[in-house]
Amino acid sequence: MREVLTILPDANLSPAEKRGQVRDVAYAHMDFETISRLSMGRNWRDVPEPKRAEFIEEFRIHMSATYGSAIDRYTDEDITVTGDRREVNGDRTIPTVIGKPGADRQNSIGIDYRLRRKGEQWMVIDVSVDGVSMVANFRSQFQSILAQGGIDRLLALLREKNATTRESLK
Amino acid sequence: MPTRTLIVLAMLAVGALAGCAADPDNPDPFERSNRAIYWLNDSVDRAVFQPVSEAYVAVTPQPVRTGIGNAFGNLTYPNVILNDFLQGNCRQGWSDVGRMAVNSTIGLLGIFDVATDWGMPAHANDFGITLGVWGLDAGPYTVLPLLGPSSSRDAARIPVSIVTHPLFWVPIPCAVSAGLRTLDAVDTRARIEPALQMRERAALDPYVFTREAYLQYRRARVAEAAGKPLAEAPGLYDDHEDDAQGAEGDMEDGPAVPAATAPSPEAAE
Repeated sequence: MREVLTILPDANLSPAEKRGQVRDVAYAHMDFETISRLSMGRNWRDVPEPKRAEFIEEFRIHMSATYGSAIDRYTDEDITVTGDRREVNGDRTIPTVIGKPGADRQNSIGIDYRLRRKGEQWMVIDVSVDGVSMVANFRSQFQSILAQGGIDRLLALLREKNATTRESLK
Repeated sequence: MPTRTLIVLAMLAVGALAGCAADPDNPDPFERSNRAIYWLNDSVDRAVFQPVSEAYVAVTPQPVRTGIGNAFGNLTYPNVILNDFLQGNCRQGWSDVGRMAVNSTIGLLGIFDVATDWGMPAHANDFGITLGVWGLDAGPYTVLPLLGPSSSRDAARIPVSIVTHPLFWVPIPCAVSAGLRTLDAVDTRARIEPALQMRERAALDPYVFTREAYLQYRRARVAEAAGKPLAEAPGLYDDHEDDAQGAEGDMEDGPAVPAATAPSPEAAE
């Protein structure tokens, strides 16, 4: 969080550099394996072993491209950590509020980071924006796609999406 | 008054629809027809609303658009205030009364948002949230023609927002009010453009993406209005790393192991 906040307002960095640096921070603090498993829910055990690694990688690229593009729109918003909550299953939730300096609730966005301990480190396993959980949203989308065309269809869609995003970032 | 009777009837009809929301495991029993309407809305948007919205943004400077958005936003406050009080949030209700009074007068018919600086920040509310606070579940997800995502419960906010809107009561020529309503719609469409672009990038199945975002967002707003913590979806954070047992691979985990006893994936077995 703090690291990201020093990167974003830095006027000396180009959008591409910012994206790169924030991505490095995100990669170090987000547990993409767990996010992948949670997003697949019970469908995860039906995915054959070799396809799991491929899925995690494509999904990671998709997530970072999607949320990375939000970085370009950052101007001078303040990010405030408003708490630190213990969840029943041992996870932690860090609620934050992002908005223009002095903005009211309506003009700011609540972003909650859900963390789970992995070894010695607390890693992000979900991000909720104004109460909308990324994992829950992906889980429903995956469920629907898997029901129609299985894991091969899902992987194809992810690859296709990632190729489009790569094009648009050029 | 006949309109009032009509509205009450419409609300009763919607209530009846919400009442027969049978299956809590499936938020979208009408998926097939919903998808058809979604597709239709999306096509109309691409063909008409998006180009119109782009043209509007191109010819209207940002400060003007802010003023237009403020003014139309101000006109929703009778609705906001009504629902504040229906939810028992009197403090919020009076803040919104003050806000509307200040912005309608000193803010020149709402064009300038003075009230925010005076400690009466913007606030959104509607009758769907009120019904939620009163304990009604969202019911089946419903995509409405042109209006987009809704639910059987939230559809009830439409008649209420219509009759609480000042333009419904002010005797102005039909052509003028139609023009104002159109401007309102175009301005609203222009303001959700970033969200739609986000969906374009993020969604693998845009229909499901929209449904989930809508239902979750509304659930969060109801919890917020009721002053309750947001209940998390059951089983959402259960890890199925080496899950061998369990049901037919459906997404719901049901009343699984109490989460507290499952601190790590290994112990979850």
